[in-house]
Amino acid sequence: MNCRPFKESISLKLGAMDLDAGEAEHIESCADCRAYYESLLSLESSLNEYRPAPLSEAEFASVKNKLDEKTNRYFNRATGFYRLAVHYGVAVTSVFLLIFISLFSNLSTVEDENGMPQFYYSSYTGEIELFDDNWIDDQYIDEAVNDFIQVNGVGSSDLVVGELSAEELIYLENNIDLGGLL
Amino acid sequence: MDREEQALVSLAKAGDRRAFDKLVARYKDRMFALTYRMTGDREEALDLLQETFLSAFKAMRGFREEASFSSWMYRIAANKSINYIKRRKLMSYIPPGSWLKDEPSYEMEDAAGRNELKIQIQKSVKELPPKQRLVFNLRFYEQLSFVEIAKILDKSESTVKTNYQKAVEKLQKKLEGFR
Repeated sequence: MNCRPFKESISLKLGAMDLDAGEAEHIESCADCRAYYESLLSLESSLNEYRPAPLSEAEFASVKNKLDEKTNRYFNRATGFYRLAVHYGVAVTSVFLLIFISLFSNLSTVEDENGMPQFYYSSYTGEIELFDDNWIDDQYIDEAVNDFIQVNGVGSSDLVVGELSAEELIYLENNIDLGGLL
Repeated sequence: MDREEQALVSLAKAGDRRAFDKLVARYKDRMFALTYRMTGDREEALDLLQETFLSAFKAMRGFREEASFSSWMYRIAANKSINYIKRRKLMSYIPPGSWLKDEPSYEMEDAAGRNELKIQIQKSVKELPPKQRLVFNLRFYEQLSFVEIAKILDKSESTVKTNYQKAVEKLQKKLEGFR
């Protein structure tokens, strides 16, 4: 065994000095390494003198009191937060669910002439409106005109928009709001 | 980890305060010895001891039992100590004689030379760089294996060994005239 690996090896053994056969053999033949080994034994013995006084009962009691105080506070905060999270979590989730249900349960779909879905919204007042701007269609105008004719006794009930006379159109424009479509 | 300790750990993880208290009682001396040797100040060591157990309490549920409970505790205490040293920058400024204040372990009746050696040892250990000091304390005084220390510090075994060798070298030089 060489001196360098020997020294590296035994310096790692400081604190639990136990030479193996090769190391024991080496210090028999190498005075320098023997001196190094003895200096380590002396260092080990000196370092073993450094034993701080153990934790006293009073010191531990003081640490324990502070620890209990802090762990209690942490525990209460943690459980308090958990309780809040559970209670408020349930409440908030319920509100969101209610809003979601009330919004989307009123949505209904109808299909247009091409079979494409059209969304209608039924408001809380029960009035039905289309989402898009073209909500006044021919059927609506027909009904409006028929209502107008029945109330005012003008023309026949077979009249449709395209068949109104100029006089009737002027009358309708002046007396009924049809969104300027006539 | 013996069976009793394993049972205590399982109970403490489930929130059993009594089980946690028993673990505290089991580990108080070892953790105190480490924090004291790292700080060299009894009051600071007591504060770090309390912080170590508080952190353990908070993290108990997350302890995955991949390492032993003692390694886990040592890791917490080691981190607390290193952070303390960084915070206080003890290494850059040590007021003369401050490392001796209120040291009750040195009895007045000790022979002067013997007392001086103890003082010098404490001073020399405290003057080691924090990581070397930590490795040295865990190995020499706590008698942990290099493998275990490597796990605690999340370093390679060779790094830990190098730290230990350097610490031994420095202590040899510093204590040469006192032995």
